[in-house]
Amino acid sequence: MFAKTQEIDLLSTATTETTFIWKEMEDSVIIIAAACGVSTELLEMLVSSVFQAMIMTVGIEEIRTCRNIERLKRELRACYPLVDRLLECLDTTSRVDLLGLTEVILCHENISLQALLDAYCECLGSLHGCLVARGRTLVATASWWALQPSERKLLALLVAGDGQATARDVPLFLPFTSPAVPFRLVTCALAAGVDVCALCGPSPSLAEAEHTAAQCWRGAVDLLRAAQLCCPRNLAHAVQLDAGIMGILLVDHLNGKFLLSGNQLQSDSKKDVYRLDILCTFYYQGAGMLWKNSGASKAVESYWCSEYHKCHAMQQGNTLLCVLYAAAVPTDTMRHITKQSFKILTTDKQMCW
Amino acid sequence: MCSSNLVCMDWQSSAEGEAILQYFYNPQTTGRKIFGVLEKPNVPSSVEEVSYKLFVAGKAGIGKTSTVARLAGTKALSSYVETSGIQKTNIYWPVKIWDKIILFKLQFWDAGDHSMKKYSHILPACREKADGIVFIFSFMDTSSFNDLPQLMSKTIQQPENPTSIVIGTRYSLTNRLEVQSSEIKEFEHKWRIPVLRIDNKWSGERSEVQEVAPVLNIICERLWMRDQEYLIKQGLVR
Ligand SMILES: Nc1nc2c(ncn2[C@@H]2O[C@H](COP(=O)(O)OP(=O)(O)OP(=O)(O)O)[C@@H](O)[C@H]2O)c(=O)[nH]1
Ligand SMILES: [Mg+2]
Repeated sequence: MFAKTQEIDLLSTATTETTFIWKEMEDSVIIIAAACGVSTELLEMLVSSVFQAMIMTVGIEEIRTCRNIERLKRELRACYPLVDRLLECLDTTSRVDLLGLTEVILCHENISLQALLDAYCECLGSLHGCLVARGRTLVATASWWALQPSERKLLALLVAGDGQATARDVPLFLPFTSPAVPFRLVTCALAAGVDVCALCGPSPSLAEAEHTAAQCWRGAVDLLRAAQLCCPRNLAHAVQLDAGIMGILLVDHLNGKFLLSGNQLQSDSKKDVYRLDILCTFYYQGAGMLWKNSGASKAVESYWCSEYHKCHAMQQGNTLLCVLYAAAVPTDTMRHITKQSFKILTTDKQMCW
Repeated sequence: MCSSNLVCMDWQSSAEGEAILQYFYNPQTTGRKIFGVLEKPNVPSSVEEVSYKLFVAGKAGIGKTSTVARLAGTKALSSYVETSGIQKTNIYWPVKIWDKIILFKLQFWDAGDHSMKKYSHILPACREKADGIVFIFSFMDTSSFNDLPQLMSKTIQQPENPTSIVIGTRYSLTNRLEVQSSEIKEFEHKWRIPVLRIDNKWSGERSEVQEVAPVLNIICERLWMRDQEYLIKQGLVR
């Protein structure tokens, strides 16, 4: 506040343990974030995502003009659950998630599901549709992928957060695509744990959408169940990766999506989270930087070795694969295995990476 | 055993009822199953299924979402999160009427009160072709009870002539309630609408089914009776 009166913008400040970020949005709201052990960059991303969650809930006009501050405050309460979920993306102790990126599942059913989803959206007259299993995207329409990554992330968090509902009709704004005119997010639970959602205008009604969903997906129950069984590995059981691999993180920078897998068929979730957490740290602190360095000699690989684990990352085009290995795997074979896995994961047409 | 009711009120705890209810539980988690639109309980094919739409009405924060979650057999959040838009929950419930087992598919339409005021499409969508309206008040909020007649006259204005049910949340045997049982009796008498009691705080003392069975059974009975009256009017039943 002091800085502002002096026409200075305070961007961030840090104590020995905590980083603070401070950002004023639309000359209307100030968002402050504080965190330990989180980079300034990530914290900035959190602050923008929180602001986008606010826009999603009340629309940009309401925030800009803010005629009635008490009403705005009350209306913004509706976005708290979403903000909580954004904060959870930074807390990797219980579940690992990445801010601003869509988490996907790679399974062989995807190619058939894509066709069904496209047909469903056509019936609804919607361009934007997405099929989600336990909060992770199986397939989505081309226009859905064309939304801003952080927009998509918020929508995915929103869909994942509902409990017992069979169908929902949630009016919301799209922070980039439609910040002033609300859309309706129409979701429908097809089978336990699998939801299909679409962004709609005034029509069709929720009842019509549910009816259409039941018709369009009628023959797909087994497909959906099979796809859903890939959780929490998030990868088709038929895909065999090298036994030395303890976890993978595959990120598509351009399309804003990632796959996270503990490579376990029988999952021990605690151990899994621990391993995936290491991978995330590797991504944030090492491998993720591969995108940034440009210039004549561009690095495309990154290594990390510790007493218990080794990490290796390899970049090809927009895609980066980070792999966590057991310490016993020789460093020179890691390269070979990573390369091989990269190919398995990204070239299988049925899994639609 | 089934007393004077049309619906057998304690059938769910009979051997036959318990056997049928197996299809509604997840053997792994022992919690109630949730069914997507492509699924339904795996009951014997001889069991007839009927489907109804119910609109859940009541002011913000009164307990609409918690009540639906409770009836669906899922644990609701304990902290208050207002509902954005419409949240529709299908609840399957088996009921014994006379000597027949009937599977009720109850479609509860619940909308956040604030978003209903903000977006005009929500109320018509919820009300359209509703077979029943569930009015929610709280036993700890006298005004929510006193406002019921007004809420009822405002909400019921459609040709379908939906049946009405009233549910009071925050009911407790131990706490002092703001709404007295004499007032409830008077209301039931005057309006000829049953007032059901529910406590959405998960007590865990009795089994979950036993707690919700009375509420669901009465809802099913009201819907069934409305159909019978309709059929009689059409001269289709002797
Ligand atoms: N103790 C107690 N608390 C309850 C009961 N029913 C609801 N609550 C609490 O009341 C609060 C509001 O309940 P909701 O069900 O979310 O209210 P709502 O009617 O859906 O509100 P809107 O969606 O905003 O219209 C929550 O914190 C619930 O935990 C009850 O029977 N007993
Ligand atoms: Mg609610």
